[in-house]
Amino acid sequence: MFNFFGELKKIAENKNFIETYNIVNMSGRILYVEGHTGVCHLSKQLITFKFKGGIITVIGEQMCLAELTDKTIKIVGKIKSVEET
Amino acid sequence: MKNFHVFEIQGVNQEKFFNLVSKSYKIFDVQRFEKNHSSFKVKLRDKKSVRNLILDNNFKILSEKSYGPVFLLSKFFASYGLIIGILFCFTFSVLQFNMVKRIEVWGECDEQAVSKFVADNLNSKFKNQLDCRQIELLIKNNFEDFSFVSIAVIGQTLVVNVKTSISPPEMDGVFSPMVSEYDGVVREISLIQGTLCVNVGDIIQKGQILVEGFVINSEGEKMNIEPRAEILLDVWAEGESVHYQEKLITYRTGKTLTRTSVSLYGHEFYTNNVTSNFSQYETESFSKVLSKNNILPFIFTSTTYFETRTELVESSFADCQEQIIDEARENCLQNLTEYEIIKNENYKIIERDKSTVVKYVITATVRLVE
Repeated sequence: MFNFFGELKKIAENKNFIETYNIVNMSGRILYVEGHTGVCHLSKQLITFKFKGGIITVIGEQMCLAELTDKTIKIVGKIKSVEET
Repeated sequence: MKNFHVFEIQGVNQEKFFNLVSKSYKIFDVQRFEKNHSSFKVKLRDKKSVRNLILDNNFKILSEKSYGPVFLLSKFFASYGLIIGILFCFTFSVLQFNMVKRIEVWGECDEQAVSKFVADNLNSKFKNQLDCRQIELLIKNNFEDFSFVSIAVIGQTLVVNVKTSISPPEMDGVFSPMVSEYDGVVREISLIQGTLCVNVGDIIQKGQILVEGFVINSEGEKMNIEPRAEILLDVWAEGESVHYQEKLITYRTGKTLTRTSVSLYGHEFYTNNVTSNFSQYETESFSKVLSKNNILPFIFTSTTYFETRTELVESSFADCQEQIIDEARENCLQNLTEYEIIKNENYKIIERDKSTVVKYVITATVRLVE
């Protein structure tokens, strides 16, 4: 089966940075995150989570943590911005 | 996810707790109502482990509820009262299905009496222990007028099918005797059954009994029986015809007039104004309703006038003697419907004032069979 992230990794020159996290934003309604190391803040307007080397901030409206496992997060709602700090 | 468990928890530092839980279990639909108040879903199979984790981390469970078909099934198996009730109903149903609940009697008989008798003589209420043959014999011995008894178990109904014996009509029937339809003389008798009332050579009258519908047996008892015999009779029949020397004959001349009219409720409002000017005439008329409804029943009437004339015709008996004799013979034969052989026939001519009467007599053999 075609692996989207696997194919991207194959063509990337520096493969180290790509091991940290992957985020897929689908039409600003669903945000899929791979490689997080823990949720820092959780509210309807703001969700932050850690990754190796930083924190990702997701700002939006009526957001909900639809799925949470040790490596992945699925956020559903109106996603306005995703920032790495 | 069809089967899940929802926890509503209260406590501080919930993000840390969610991180802890997510290391071992999947969490879904995390809803943060307040800083210290949130809810989330886990898989139904992780319910107990997650609950322990919540309590170990000093969180307070405000509410929890399971959803999905697996939960409903597990809830059912935990409802011992319900299970016992169902098992009891099932056992009762199986037990009562093996029992006879009602008795139905088919056939022309006193159903209540038969039903009561069967109910009193049932050796068991259980279908597998019923001895149908024995009950059949008991019914047959107890009810003498039954010629046939059959018992079958259909569902939970014991069906008793009986047939009442029909006695032959000779046992209690009343038969009308064999009666003569003619005046005559008995020539031959061939008796099949019954009691003979006449002998060969007897002169009999119309309506006289020939064979009675009973016999007397050797014990002197009267037994009703259908009278059957073959009797040969010599019968005589009469017929006459009259000839008049002068006769008034009315005949139509062929001239006609037709008057037509249309009327409504008895009031004539159209006519062709034809009136009869014949001195002597006959009329024939017919009416017809023109409309097919009863609102305006127009009636069309047509009356035809036939002109007639009456004349006095004179004729002598000698001129038409043969014709009058033939007419008398025809009249005589009309009184003799089922004859076998005509043995003799003669006629008598009686002269009267201005008329002549021919009386015809036929003697014939008639066979009466019953």
